[in-house]
Amino acid sequence: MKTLKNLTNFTYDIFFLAYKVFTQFWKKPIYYKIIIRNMYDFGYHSLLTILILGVSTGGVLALQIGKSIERYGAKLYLPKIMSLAIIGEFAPVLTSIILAGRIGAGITSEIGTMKVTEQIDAIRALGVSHIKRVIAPKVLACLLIIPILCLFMGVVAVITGAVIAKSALSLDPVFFITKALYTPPFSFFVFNFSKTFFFALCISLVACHYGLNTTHGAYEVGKATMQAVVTSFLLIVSFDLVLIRLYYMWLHSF
Amino acid sequence: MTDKQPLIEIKNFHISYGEKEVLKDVNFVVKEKECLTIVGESGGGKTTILRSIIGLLKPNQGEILVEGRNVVAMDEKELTQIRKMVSYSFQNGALFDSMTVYENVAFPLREHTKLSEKEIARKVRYELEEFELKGIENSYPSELSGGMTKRVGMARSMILKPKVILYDEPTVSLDPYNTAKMVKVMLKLKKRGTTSILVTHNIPVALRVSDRIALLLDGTIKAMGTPKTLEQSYNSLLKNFIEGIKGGDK
Repeated sequence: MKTLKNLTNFTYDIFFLAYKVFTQFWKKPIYYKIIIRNMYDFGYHSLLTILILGVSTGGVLALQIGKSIERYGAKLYLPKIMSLAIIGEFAPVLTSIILAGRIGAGITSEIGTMKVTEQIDAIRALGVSHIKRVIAPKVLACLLIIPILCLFMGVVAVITGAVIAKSALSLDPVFFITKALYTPPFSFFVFNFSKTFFFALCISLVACHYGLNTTHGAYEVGKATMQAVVTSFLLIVSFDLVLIRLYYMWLHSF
Repeated sequence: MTDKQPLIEIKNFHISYGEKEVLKDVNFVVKEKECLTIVGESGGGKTTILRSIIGLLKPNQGEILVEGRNVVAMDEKELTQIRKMVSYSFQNGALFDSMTVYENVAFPLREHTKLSEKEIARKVRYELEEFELKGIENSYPSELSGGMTKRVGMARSMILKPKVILYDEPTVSLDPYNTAKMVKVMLKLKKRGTTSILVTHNIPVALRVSDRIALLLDGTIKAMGTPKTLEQSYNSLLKNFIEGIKGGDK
């Protein structure tokens, strides 16, 4: 019963926070500079992590799947399988999970520390909306940068797959990339890219929510950060399942 | 003092944290240009009163009138106007740790005015000089002493020239030298005509800067008067509080 009540409160809080963010953000003044700075912090500083993730995922997939199907003479199917796996799952979901740890944890610890050191109260006491100045720029920056990072990871993974397929399976890279790009239907690209906006909202709103609800000291900041990362992770994997189910229901309705 | 208009009125103020009723039926008035000090035991709800005046906390019952307008019934947009007029000086300064001293003090000007950067720089420099903080403009809050942090916080609160300032324990954990500096600042602001509510445990400071002192005990105002009348009175509660004895005639 208590869990259900907590879940209801959490859902209400997240929706209410989203409502406040999207209603207050558009009112002047709009903090463009803060949004750009947040985009730089979240995006530029995550590039290396995402690059390594893309290279390792693409390389491992090409080797594991390629070597397994080569025995059955099906290595020509590798680009198709890989593009479905990377575009469908690894690029949006795996990248979002990594970014929940990288960006989400950063947001929660920053806002949590501001909360316990009364900086959030100071912003409010000085007649400025903390939602508009602190929260909204972070949510907006996440919405703009996380989809780009997911796309970047997908591109890196496919290119790495092509390189590994050439060296380990003697597959032509041009053939690999052409097949990888033209196999999935266009709606598949659009749907999986759209998912990343949803995941970006999950990561940023959950991180801000836990940050704003931090009380007391350093221990609570750590606890809130951990809770934010775990909750974002669970939301991403759960919503991924739901969204994929809905996508295929929509696809089969034609 | 009697001819001046009430600027802040607290009426029938009740607030609880969970099951615990911290403040019950608190009533007082602060008039223009007056300095009212609230003394009382730790955790007794003094800071809660200050936070409620600028709408950071909502009472369970009662009214807080600032220039006749009820803060309790206001939304965030209306509260913004009150917060420009009533400034809050946090106990620990609450400086933004990612900003320099200059940026901290310039923050309200950048948010609420359309002044040029040159004009902002002039005002910030003037305010820092007033608070004896010259030369630390480019320092970060982590590089400042406790006394400096509090004074930077106060400079930031004062830069928009508010009508009212709420001091939350401005001298706590300060050495006598820094306490004296803080008292000097408060007296200077009082001379400027700023109305203030001071929350403190430091009785000598309270006696020096206040026009009236209120004793908050057991969630309500038990005694109130000018420093002179309270010093001379036989109010055993205040005398016992000063001497560290809780309760009335003991």
